[in-house]
Amino acid sequence: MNTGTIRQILLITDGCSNQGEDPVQVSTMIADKGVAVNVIGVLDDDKSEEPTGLSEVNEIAQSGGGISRIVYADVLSETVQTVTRQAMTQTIQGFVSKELKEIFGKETDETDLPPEERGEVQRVVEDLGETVDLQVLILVDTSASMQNKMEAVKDAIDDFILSLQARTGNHYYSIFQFPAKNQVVKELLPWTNDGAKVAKVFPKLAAGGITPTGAALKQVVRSFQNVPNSAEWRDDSDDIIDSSYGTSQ
Amino acid sequence: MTSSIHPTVRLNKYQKIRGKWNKRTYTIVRLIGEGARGSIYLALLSQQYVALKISQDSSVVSAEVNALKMLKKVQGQSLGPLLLDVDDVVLGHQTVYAFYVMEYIDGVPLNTWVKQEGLQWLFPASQQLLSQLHQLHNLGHIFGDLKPENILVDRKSKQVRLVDVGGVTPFGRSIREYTTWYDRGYWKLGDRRAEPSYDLFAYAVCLLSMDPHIKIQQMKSKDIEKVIQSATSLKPLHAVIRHALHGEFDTAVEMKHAIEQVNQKQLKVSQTKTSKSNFKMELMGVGTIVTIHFALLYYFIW
Repeated sequence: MNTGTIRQILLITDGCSNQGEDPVQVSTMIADKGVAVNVIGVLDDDKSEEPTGLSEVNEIAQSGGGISRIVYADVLSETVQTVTRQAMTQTIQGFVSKELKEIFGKETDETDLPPEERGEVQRVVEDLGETVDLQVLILVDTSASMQNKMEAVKDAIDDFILSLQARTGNHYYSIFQFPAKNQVVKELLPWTNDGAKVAKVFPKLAAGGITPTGAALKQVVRSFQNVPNSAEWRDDSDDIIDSSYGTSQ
Repeated sequence: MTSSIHPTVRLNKYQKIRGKWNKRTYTIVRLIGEGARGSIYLALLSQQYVALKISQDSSVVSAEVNALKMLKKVQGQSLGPLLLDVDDVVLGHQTVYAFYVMEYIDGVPLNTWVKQEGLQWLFPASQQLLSQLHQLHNLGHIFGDLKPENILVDRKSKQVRLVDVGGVTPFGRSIREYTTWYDRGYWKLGDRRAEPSYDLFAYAVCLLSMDPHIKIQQMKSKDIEKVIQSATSLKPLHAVIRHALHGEFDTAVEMKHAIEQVNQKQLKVSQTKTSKSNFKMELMGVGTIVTIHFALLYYFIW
């Protein structure tokens, strides 16, 4: 069986956007292109309650067909793993539900199946999750308030790349930051599958400035066109994961 | 869509959970634990205590049920908790939640047990645990999320039992679930692909974390050698631990034998020490205790 490609944006931010386009709207558009938008909101250590600005985090992910989490910096690493994996599972499950619908001729959710048969579906989902090709664009909010969280962000990215490398399927990742000097977003690392390259990016990850989340999202999604076309990197038309999935939820 | 913080499900005491498919009714007693994958409750089925795991994410239930079924294939003493039931329940506004029911193990986490009963328990516990891991590895899977909280000492049988199968992963795959401190990737001492040495690394960190001088969660440095050096109560085990941390044991049985050898050696050392009356309570084998007990018994009879 030919497995397809899953595309995700992983946005790491600490609060609400304060400039430019509405990120929730942009996120919907991105989902339409078959790219899931996952968002991790990073809390300040001294804040015990969720600041209202972070509700945007959930809204962006919801409209982007992705997963969101709001966490303290010290659990950022594990959260990045969980979010990516869950979003991937969600995308695959969306595809599987569609297949089930074709088989049974009606809207069929995994939970409509008896628990016994569900185990088989789960095995298929897990196999796909392990073998499918994965493209993750990491978009880091480096506005001024993120300053004391950058070390945790670096650790989390470093750790994430390690997990990507453990997968059987191929992967490509790229790293962008926003805002940057004289521009909304800046590409820190073009698409690569080389885990060693990530370290070179870290010195450049410095914080300062405003938070144009919507505009940044809009710009980075174009970058999926630039994923290298290696021989093992299959053509879009072969995707078993329907690219229109994001809208069918 | 899963956008909540955790896929936990809140159930109340005395709440009845009736399965949609198998029609069994469980009465909730109390919450046992809550985690990133769901909630576990102590429940009653007729007069029998059981553990019920419920999650907003049905794939969590399916995955763990698959893992528990796989563990069942092991002959003899069961590796994980026995799986008793898998079902769905409709709660509140027609929301369907998947759950599964397993044997309730009335146990104490290994770290709590060792704190109460003494470091000498590490020897019998390691023997049992490494045998179990070896059996699991023979099935082509690793446990993955090995940590003291997931290793229970059964109060009655004093046997070690593994719980929480969320991390069980087939060889060669990427580890499904792990906990930072017990993950070799975190310490930069290996990758996250499933192979027996991944579990043995995690168990070595478990051993280190039992040392009263070690607060593994507060370690800022990622230099494992520093951690070993501060684990002064475990000195006799340092060589074995170091071996496991550097992936030099290929199988759980090798590590088991190595620990057993340390135990034997300790036994001899402490025997000579007792006779010289400068007995030092450092790290005692169970054998030692047995010897002392016999000595006392003999004394009284005499």
